[in-house]
Amino acid sequence: MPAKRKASVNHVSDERTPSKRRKHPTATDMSSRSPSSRGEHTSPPPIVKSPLLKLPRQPVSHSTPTKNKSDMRLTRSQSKVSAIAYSRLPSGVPLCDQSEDELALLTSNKIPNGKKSGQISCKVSQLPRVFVEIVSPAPRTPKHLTSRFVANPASPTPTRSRITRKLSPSRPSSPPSPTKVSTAKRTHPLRPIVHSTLDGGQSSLSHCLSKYPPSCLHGQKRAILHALHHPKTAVFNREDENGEPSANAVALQELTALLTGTVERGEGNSCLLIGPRGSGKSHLLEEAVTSLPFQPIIIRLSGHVQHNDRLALREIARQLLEQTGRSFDVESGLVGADDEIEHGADASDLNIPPPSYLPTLISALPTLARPTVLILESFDLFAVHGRQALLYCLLDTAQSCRADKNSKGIAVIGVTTRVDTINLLEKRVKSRFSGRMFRTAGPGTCDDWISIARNVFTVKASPPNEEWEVRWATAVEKLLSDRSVKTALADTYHLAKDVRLLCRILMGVVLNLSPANPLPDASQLRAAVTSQRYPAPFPFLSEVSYPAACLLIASVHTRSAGHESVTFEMLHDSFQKQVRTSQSAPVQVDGGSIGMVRCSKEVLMSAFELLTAARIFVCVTPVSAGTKREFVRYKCMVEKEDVRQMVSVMGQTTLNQWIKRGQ
Amino acid sequence: MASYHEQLDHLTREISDNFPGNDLLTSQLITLITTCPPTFTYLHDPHTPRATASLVNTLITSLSAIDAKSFTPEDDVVPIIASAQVNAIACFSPRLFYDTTFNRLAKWRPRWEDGCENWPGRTAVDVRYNDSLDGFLHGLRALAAQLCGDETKVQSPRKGRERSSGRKAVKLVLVVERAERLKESLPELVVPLTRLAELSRVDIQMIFISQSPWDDIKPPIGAAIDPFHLSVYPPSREETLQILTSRFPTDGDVAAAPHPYHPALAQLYAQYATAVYSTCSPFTHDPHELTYVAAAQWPSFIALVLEAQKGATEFHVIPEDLPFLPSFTAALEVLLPRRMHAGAWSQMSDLDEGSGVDAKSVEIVARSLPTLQKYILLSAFLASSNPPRTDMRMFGRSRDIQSKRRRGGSTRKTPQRSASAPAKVPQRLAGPSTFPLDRMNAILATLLEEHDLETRAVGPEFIQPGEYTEIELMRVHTSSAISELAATHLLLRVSPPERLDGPPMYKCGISFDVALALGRDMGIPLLDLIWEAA
Repeated sequence: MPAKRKASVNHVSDERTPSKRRKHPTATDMSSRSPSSRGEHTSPPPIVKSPLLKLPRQPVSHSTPTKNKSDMRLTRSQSKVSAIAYSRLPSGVPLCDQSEDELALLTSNKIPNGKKSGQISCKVSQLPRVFVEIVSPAPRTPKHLTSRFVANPASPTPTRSRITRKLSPSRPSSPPSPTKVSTAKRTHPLRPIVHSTLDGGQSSLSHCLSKYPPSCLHGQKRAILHALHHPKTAVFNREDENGEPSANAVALQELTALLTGTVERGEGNSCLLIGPRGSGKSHLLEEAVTSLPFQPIIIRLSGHVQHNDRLALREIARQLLEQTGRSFDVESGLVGADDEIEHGADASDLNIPPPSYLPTLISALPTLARPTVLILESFDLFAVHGRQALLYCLLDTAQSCRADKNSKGIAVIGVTTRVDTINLLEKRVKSRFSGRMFRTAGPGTCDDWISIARNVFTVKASPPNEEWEVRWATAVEKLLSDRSVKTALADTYHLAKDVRLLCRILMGVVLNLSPANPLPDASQLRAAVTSQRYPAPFPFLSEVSYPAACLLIASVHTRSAGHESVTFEMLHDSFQKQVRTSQSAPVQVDGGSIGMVRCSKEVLMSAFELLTAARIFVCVTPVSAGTKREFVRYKCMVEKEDVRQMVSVMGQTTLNQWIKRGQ
Repeated sequence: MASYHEQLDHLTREISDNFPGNDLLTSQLITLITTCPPTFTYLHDPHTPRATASLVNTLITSLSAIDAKSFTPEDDVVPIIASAQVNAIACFSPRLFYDTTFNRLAKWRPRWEDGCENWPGRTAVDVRYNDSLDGFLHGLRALAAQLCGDETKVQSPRKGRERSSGRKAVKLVLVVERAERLKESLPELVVPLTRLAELSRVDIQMIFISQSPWDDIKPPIGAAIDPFHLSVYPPSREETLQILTSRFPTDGDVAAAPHPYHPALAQLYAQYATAVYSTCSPFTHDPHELTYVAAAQWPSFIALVLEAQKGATEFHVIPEDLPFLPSFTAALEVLLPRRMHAGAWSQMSDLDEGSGVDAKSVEIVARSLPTLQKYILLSAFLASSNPPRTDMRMFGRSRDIQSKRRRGGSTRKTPQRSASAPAKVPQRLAGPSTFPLDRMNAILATLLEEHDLETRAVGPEFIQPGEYTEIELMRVHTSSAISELAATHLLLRVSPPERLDGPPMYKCGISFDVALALGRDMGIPLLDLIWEAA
């Protein structure tokens, strides 16, 4: 009877509840602790007693002491007994379309006796395996389970044992082992153990470290987080391996020389500071500016903020006002322009000149009392402004700046990551640019990253505690010499050399330290690498509800059929077909169908909206007012393999079958 | 007085109690905000974004409420924290965003008496900070300076020489919840907001809370800096139950007359919440939704319990012989999609599967239409469902078709689909297709001729078959019926009304089920007329 055996397989693991709930006794679980249900394996379901009626005072308790042998035998399996038993209602019960959990709420006097109950007991006796499976405690080894079930032909072993094993990773109760972390799928990252900073842990580690006051850890964390804000203290400005000065040191030297020329000798200079992200361009610039003998007027513009020349000009005028304390036209003495300025569109008391006076405003900069340094962040974005007027004026002014007594110097410094920025400039602009380009570079080798990490981690905490420092230094050395840590950091380094990424990874490690777990270890760092370098786009996919899982599986099948975009109607149709197929088997277990649970269209739609909000389904066509929402075309952003993984973690047999064999 | 760290510990504990299951996130955020935070943090919460936003709001409000002045000036650990939480849905324009941010950071409350003025900034200079992004950055600098200045001003009366060393750090925290909306409403602000600290040169931390991943919001050209990622874990079963039971008010009057939220019923409510959870959790894990369902069912449920146990003073266990058990699934199916609100549901006496729900309102409206409009709807449905090339085969009744048969040659072969080509999606699932009005009129004429002709009194002047129907279709009332249906959106007009060339295009607005019901009413075998009836 292959059909029947298959059916029993379905039934045994057909708990519609997500996997995580298996580990916790539910309301119905509690009911099986009633005296009437204990030790009655072959009797009709005891669970039809309302769970509410038999709840003990402490509903959630995993270790309820038992008093006799039969109790002890059943204690660990109670949840599964109830999980099976709640479906033992005859199909003729009026509430047949309600969920099985709800059926369990029915009082015992609602169970019809006579013929149907006879059927129930008959079916139960035909499927003793169900109970054997159910009462088996979860932590058995798979081998043991297999041998046990093979002895009985109707045993649903394979599915069951596999599922039982796969349930565990969703909520680990202990720190993840290194191998587990490395093989962890992106779709369901492990939840780190929550070590409360308040109550303290009971681990042996915390035991031996409990003599250190929490202020040690607080101080260390604070010092490290502070150090992470200034990572340039670590390796920038030093010589490279060949004994030659590093790129940043050279750039700093040249930039300082250029700025000194402007400030001291009144030169007009222009240069570009080019380097990849996180290579220290801004830090270097700040250092050069602060090292000047006296502070020039510094005007900072950014291509991300000043989208056009008008905004840039307003900002220049505003910053001039702030730094000189006087309005621009007053200071520069632009006679004749005042009337127009006052009648400008947005003229406030800043006296912002209109764009037609752009050349005059810029050309007045060398006439100010102090030299001017213009810093243009994201210089490449200024090149897309109309006619590059601002750049033209700035560079023209810098080029034509004459060093004499009446004029002060001006320096235009462009900061950018684009190496081809010079090519973006028009010919007339390029010809006014000095062509000086300073390049910065990030850490040259992976060892630099390790040394940055070491420098950051070994920062001295403010309340010094020698014992703690020794302990901490040992842990850090152990961490950084760990082979898996080196591999993880090297992988990351070869993908992106951005030091800020390293800082974020280290920050993730430091944040997870707690009084219960005060020392960093390799698994924490690997987890931080995963979460910071490539955070899962859809974490906790296995935690989605049953309707959402159904929609995802339906979309996988629709994609397999060649349709990249789906409408809600297509998914709903696929779901309905699958429900019909799975319920069409003429097999009932305890009066209930073994197929998938029905779900109304509205509930599916609300699950679909949640998935849309989480951007798991993304709209691919522009939505017009005339299109109903169930016919809007969406694309599923989750890969098929991720959905497979999700279903196997959820551990529902019907869903598993659907994704494996469904259409 | 408790030290700063003790206060933080106390705050952590308090927030963890109020928001179960978020201990790790709370401690991480507190550590970050009070020390050296990353300039940009991205909080990804795909499951419970509202609860997380509420947690972060409570946290930053509590942190900024800690009085930094009460600690010793030498202790530079204690920063002055000014925080603001902004909802990207509510702040849909840049100016709203700027003003809301300033008002909240400066704890400024616009008052009616003052003309609802926003935060004025430095009153000495009449500068507007909400006109552009530049103004916003200047405003942030002014605000930070003001907060710093306040602090030094308060400390200055005594020990004037130590002023400079006692000056404390000011940290600004700006939280944007529903940050995914920024992509649509304020796309030009995304990059500057991620770089806010470096652009404004103020110690400001930016936190985005969003339901969608960062990759989805990230601007394409890599202009935004990468955030520090934090993920929020979905609540477990125990945590959800804790949230559910915590909604029961515990501060009621014990001596009061029995009512649904009497303190004596708290224990019973916990059992009830467990039952609700075990029934409804497969369909939704959102604690908010579960609370909603539980609250809607509770009054009617507890009324029966109280009735069954008249005279009892304490309720620990739900009585066995309760003649009523609530249908949680029925409640979920109605309340989760909000087909009915909780108040109306709780007042329903019979709880018979939501019979009063207006889910079938479209069908009711459609079936109450005049006959001609029903015909129009059916013909529109057929025109939307069938491919145009099949019209002749489905509706053609002329003899010309048979005489038009080709002669000679081999039999026609249907073009073979290649194996790789995907199967065609049935029109019923892909949505209604558009059709020109003329086509619908032709189908309408066929339907009327076949099913409605006998009900009309055809004058003797109509000799040709179909002549009467054709003239009927040309009448004004047919056009007005179509316009009326288009106005009620049972028929959707696709082409703009101002377009003059070509016939107007329409699309059917009723679903398959409604069309079937209409067909049954009219006695039209609709399934025979649909090309893909499956």
